[in-house]
Amino acid sequence: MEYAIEVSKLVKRYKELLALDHFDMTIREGEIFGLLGPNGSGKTTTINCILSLLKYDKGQIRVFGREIKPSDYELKKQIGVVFQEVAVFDELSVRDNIDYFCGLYVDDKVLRKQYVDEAIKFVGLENYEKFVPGKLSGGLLRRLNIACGIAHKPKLIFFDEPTVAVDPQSRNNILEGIVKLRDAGATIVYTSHYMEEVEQICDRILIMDKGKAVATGTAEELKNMTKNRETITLETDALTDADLEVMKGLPHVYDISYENGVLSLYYSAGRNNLVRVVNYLQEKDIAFTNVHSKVPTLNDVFLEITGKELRD
Amino acid sequence: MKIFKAFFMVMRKYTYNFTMYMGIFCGVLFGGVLPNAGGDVAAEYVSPKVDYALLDEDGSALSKGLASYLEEKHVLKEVRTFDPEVLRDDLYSRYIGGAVVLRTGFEDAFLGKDTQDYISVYDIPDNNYAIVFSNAIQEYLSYVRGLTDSGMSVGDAAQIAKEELSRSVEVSFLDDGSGATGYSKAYYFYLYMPWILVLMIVVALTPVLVRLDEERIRKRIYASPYKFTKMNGEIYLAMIVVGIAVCAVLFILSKMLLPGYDNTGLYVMNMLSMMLVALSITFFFSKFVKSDMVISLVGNLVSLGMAFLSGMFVPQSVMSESILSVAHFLPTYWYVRAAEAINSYKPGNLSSVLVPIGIEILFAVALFGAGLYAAKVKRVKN
Amino acid sequence: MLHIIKYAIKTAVKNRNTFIWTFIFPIALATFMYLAFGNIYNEEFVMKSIPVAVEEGEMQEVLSEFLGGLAQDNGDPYFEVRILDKEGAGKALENGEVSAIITSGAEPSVIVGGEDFKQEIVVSVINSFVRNMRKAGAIRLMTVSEGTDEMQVVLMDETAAEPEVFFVEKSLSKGPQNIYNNFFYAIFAMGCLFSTMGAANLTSKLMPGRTSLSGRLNVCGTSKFKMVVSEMLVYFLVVFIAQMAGYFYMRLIGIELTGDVLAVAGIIAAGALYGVAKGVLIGAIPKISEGIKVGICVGSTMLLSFLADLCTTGIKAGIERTVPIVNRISPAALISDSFMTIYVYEDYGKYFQNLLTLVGMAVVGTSIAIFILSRCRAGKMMLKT
Repeated sequence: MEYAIEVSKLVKRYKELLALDHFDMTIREGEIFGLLGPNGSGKTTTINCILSLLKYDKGQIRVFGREIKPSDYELKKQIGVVFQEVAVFDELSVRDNIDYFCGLYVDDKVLRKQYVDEAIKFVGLENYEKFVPGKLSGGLLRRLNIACGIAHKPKLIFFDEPTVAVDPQSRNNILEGIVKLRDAGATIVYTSHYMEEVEQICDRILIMDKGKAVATGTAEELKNMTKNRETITLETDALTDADLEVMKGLPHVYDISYENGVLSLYYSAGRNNLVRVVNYLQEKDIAFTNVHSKVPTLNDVFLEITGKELRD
Repeated sequence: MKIFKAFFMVMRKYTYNFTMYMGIFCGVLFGGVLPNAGGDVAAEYVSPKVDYALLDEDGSALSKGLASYLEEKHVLKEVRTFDPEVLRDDLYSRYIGGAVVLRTGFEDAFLGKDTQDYISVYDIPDNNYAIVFSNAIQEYLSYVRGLTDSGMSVGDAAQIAKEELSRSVEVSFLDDGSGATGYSKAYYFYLYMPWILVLMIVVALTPVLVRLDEERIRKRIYASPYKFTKMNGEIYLAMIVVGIAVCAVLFILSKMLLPGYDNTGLYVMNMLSMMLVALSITFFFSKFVKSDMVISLVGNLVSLGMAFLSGMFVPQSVMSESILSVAHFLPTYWYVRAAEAINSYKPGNLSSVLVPIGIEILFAVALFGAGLYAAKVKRVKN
Repeated sequence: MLHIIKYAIKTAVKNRNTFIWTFIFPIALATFMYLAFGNIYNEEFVMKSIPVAVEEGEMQEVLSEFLGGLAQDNGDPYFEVRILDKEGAGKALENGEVSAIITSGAEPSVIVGGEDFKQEIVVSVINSFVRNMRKAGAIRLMTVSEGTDEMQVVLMDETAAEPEVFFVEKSLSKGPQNIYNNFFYAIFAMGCLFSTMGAANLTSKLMPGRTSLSGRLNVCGTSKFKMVVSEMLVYFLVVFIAQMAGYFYMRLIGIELTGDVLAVAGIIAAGALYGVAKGVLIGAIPKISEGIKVGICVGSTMLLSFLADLCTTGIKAGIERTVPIVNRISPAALISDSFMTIYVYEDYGKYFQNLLTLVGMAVVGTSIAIFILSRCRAGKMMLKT
């Protein structure tokens, strides 16, 4: 197994604040790896340390098997970065910006022109080539930001919260584009605090909090870490204590609550749990409404492990 | 007073400008201005003295007489050698203002009325000191010539020439009873001060006004219940507070360097008027320039330009009439006029001080008005 | 490198404000200076007749005729003479209408308002007058209406006679050294040194942790050496062209600068290179804010320009006497001295010595900056984390 990135016992301190606390992470080549955590958990600090933009106090970082240094330009040629803040020149047009940054990696003029054309097409900025950044909307700026980071077809790409303040349509385009990049052979590191995005595109996910890796795995594996597999809720006024006792005895139910006419059943496993509940209520001729079945999210995983919401 | 406080919070980033320019001002004062400035109390008139070097190869009564005369009149300095190549370095670096070499046979040549190959005078052409120095030598030799032509011996003539030329007519300063004549050190302090005052205020405050004027900040404030007039009032108040603080520091500096100078109140009044002008220039500029680098360039250009054209670095008395008439349109010109009036102030002559100060204040008002108009045009355009 | 140079030029041209003010600065400053002392720049140091007042008294006519009869080389009178009463003369001196008052008692004396060369000329001339009176052996009341007098004849003879030329002054320098040129040389020095601010931006934007753009530039596959040198080259060209434009402008308006364009180009090139390199080094200093960097750039420029006689002459000479090493390494002094060497020296030894010092300092500064940037990582990020 080839690892694109190996981070081992990384420590970074800002005076008394421990931003990274013996942080470990491995990222395989060719996967989209999600780095999920609340604000201040250390996601961007990790990225900056890996890119040797930031000094760290202890630990080891290897990229494609090598320790990356600020002057390791050969290794840097294989890396692309899309920062959260837009990083382009205000004085240059869309095409010039992409060409400039691509030119820092690719010397061949002909090849570079081809790459720039492909990057513009990839992000859908064909109609805006001559525009300067000041004339672009937020979503288009983000697309330009992405194009500048990926035009040179890097093997390893970092996306640091690329969809912040982006409209839903642009967001979908960006996510689809990232998957295409992975399919073309790139390794992607994707940081975000939007769990839906991470769940949608990432092959593996690392959840971090307070500078530590809290859990790592696929989305399914992470969700399997929680006790709860399903939560069924419905509204009814006609339940008695006896009914509740019966329901508590249903297969896989580990907890039940009934307040203000809302019944919640917590399942640790099983399939067709809803059918059993509905059958029982129908047999007893108990009226019910607003039935919901919810599967655990990454937020639930985070909440169970850390005791707080991912969005806190 | 939220905007008032915000002004100072933004200004924190630029306060290094004040320290830096104050340091430069002190350097200019100590290094060039005050050492050359006159005294406050009437003293004896002293003729300009030239640093010079002399080599007497002749050793005659005439050469010794000339050497002795020059030593009394000017300042003899040692040089490494009289090799012209080395002398050139000493002249070029202004270590000496002139050099004289009296060759063997000088006295005989003098008597034979053919001295040019026996005396060499080296100096820097078109230089005041060179003229004074060569005039002294010419005067001495002319006087000796007059005496030797009438039959006196060279030795006696050399001696008498020295005695006679050392006598001078009585030279005094105009005594108006106050004891103060010429340009005082305080005058020079306050003469150079506006250059640095304008520069400091423009360079330190323009970026603050630019930041507070940014569209996104303005929009946020407009959308709030904060009144527009209140906001602007607080900004102006903050500017005046900064201006007064800077003037206070300059005033304290003046008192530390020049403990007992006269007409303090008038100098301070003049300084405060110039401070208002500087604030108005700052306000006006903030409507046009944006980047810190351009602010610095423009600030230096404006302050230096006004300093040169108004009579700060170059006295008004040597400037041409046409330039002086253009300079009337600069507030610093009136500042210099006021400073000169203060320097020679006598009770009953207050109008000679107040009129130029009044004109400075008018300039301040005009520039402020121009800034308001520019702001309005920009707002309408946006 | 050509790729980076191409975009550095594009960016520089689009930064109109900076571009324009870099050109305007030397031209505007030269114009202000020339206007300020253009009156005395091209002529002898005394060109206006010195106004003097002769107090009413027994010697008033003789004195006024004596003083009025003295003429400059161009035929203009040395003095503009007025005969005033004591009070009127005092007022005139106070107001600056006259430079000196000559009393016309039995032995004339001089009353002055200050100590400068004009007063010294008056004192010197009156001294000469009194000496001649003593030489004639008598001091008598005389008027022109009484006809010629032995005293008057002696005085007239003194003023009419051709003075003997005992020596010819030698200058030891190749050409003129107009002292006011120091101010103009200092403009070149200031212009070159002000380029430190723009240059500091070049490296500042490459410091990791400053902005997202600096992050992107730090992660790219091009060496810091290429990035810094390419951008330096473009900025250096802008400064060089601006300063050369300033030079041609100064010659156009009549400032006595050498016609040796290559020599001037050499000085400006070395000065601009130094200024840009200094800015690059300051920009590369880690752990200090942008504001402090600008402060260092401006403060050092102003101080060095002042030390090279920008505001007042004599500072450089004073330093030469007390701490000469400062003039050997002060870039402003080296630049203005290099201009003077063109006039003073026959060969270019000192000229090249100065230029090599500037270029050497530039190379060292640039090397240090590139070294710092190549190994620099931020201690903390300025960006949001």
